[in-house]
Amino acid sequence: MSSNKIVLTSSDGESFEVEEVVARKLQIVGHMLEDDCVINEIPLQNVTGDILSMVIEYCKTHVDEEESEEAQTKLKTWDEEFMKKFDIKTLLQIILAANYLNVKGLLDLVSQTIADTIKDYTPEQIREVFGVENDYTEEEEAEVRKENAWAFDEADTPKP
Amino acid sequence: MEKKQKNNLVPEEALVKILARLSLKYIARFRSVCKEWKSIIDSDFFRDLYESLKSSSSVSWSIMNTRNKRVSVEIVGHHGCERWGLTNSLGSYMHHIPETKVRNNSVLSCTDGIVLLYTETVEGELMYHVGNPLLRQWVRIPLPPHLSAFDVVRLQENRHFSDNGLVTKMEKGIVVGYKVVWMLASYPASKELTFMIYSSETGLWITKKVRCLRALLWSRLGYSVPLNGILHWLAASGCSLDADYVVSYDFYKGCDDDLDCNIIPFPGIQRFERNQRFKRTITTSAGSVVYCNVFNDSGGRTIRVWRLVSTKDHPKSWKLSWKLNTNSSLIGFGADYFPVVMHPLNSDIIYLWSRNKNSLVLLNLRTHKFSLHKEVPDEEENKSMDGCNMRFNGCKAYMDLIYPIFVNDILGGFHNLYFSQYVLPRWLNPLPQLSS
Repeated sequence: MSSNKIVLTSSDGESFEVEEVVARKLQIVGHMLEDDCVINEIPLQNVTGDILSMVIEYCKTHVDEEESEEAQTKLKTWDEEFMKKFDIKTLLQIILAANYLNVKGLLDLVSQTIADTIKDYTPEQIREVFGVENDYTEEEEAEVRKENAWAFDEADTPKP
Repeated sequence: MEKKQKNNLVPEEALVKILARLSLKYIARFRSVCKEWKSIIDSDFFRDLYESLKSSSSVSWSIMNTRNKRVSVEIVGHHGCERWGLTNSLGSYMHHIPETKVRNNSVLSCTDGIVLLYTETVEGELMYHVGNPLLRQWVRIPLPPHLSAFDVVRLQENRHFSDNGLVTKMEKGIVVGYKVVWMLASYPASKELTFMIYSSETGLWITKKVRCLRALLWSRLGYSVPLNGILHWLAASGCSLDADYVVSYDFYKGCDDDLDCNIIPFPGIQRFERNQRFKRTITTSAGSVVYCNVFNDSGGRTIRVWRLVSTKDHPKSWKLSWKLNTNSSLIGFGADYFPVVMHPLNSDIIYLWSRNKNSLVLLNLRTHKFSLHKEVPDEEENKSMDGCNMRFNGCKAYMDLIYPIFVNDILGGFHNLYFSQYVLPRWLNPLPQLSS
């Protein structure tokens, strides 16, 4: 079973040949394989090739999740290094892909990385990055800001 | 890529996963991003998800001085804890600045993240506020109707009335109501107590008389331990002048015909007749009232911790949770210490004060690991056992102040409540408002 190869095709037509065990880390693929076991080429319409290649890189590295503490530490270090490569825009693309392809470990990892990245953003920066429109009226926004004034007044950096 | 898309790049399903990993400080800020984000953050679904991901995250809390107004009200603060992500300790939020000039301003009680504040203006007017200091929400509590000028004087002098009870009603970790309670004992020793109770649900004061099974000396009504809508006081039976009973009353029990206080004798009280030199404290921890005493036994010094499991079922009211001989198990611990508080969320950890080391001792009763913390200037910070930063403020001064009354009284020690805990709640809950 493990030697079986699967071809994953991205929305922009890029193809990736991967081991079935790797492809199964994408739960969306896992479900497709259960439905019909003769599939060996799977089109993934919501993911572009560059993002898909990163997801596959993650899945390849995490294909054998060993229990030993040493292996866990090594993986954790790899995860940290892996995440450092991406800017916030790419991280958001990855979380969309991880959510669509349903890759649990990657979803947790990238959620945490995004949270750590955006925590000191102002609401304006958040809107910019997340493509969200400010639908408050001026009065409403002032009101919500006032309710949460304590959170804005708190210094961002702890005292040394 | 650079083209601006204004149609939610990230679907809600993924967004909640990101938001649930932030400290509450940032979550509070992001309520002002847009209406959708606010409604996600305020939803029960999101709160449950947050709780499931961060169930063990540490919460800011403080050890408060309930005795001496000249020493800072917060003697030890914990901040930088994961859940709230605050960079300041809670004591810095305790101030409410009313419009008028004040000559006296003090925190009377605190529970579940809300506080009862007493203010006396320069004109001599009395004001009571209940507030959530962090969220800066304050509600002025009216004085009870028919309060005579004489009553006001007695209030100011702290005679006759005890005006510092505060209890909350919690639902799923959120404060949905509170009651301010004044206590009044008609005689110094009696079976009867009078409560004046202000409820946030009605906005009204009521008066209620309750009875106890036996007459008690009520000299300790000025300090109480609130937990889950119940107040606990110390009282003495008269066989001894020292407190040998805990008295409790549930202000949210509902039934108006419940007119009895529970009186609960302290456990191990017979020892205390034989050997009066012991030290004790009563606080809350992990949702229970917890009583801790330290005795010199024949084999050395022993810490015992009891949890109050039932208010009616004497002698099974208290359950011994820990018994630890510190001479044999804790090398280098020193001998001259007294119990301060239990960790409010982790019932394995006790805070003690060591006199000969002039240090706060954090002791894990399960693992026997301990750490000593000296009061140091602000810039250097101590780390607590759950990784929060600890800030001391007049802690040593306060300990030195209470030590003589706490320990050395030859009449048997007038044990009292010297500490209270101010603990932030687990969620961003606004102060309950009057439903009008």
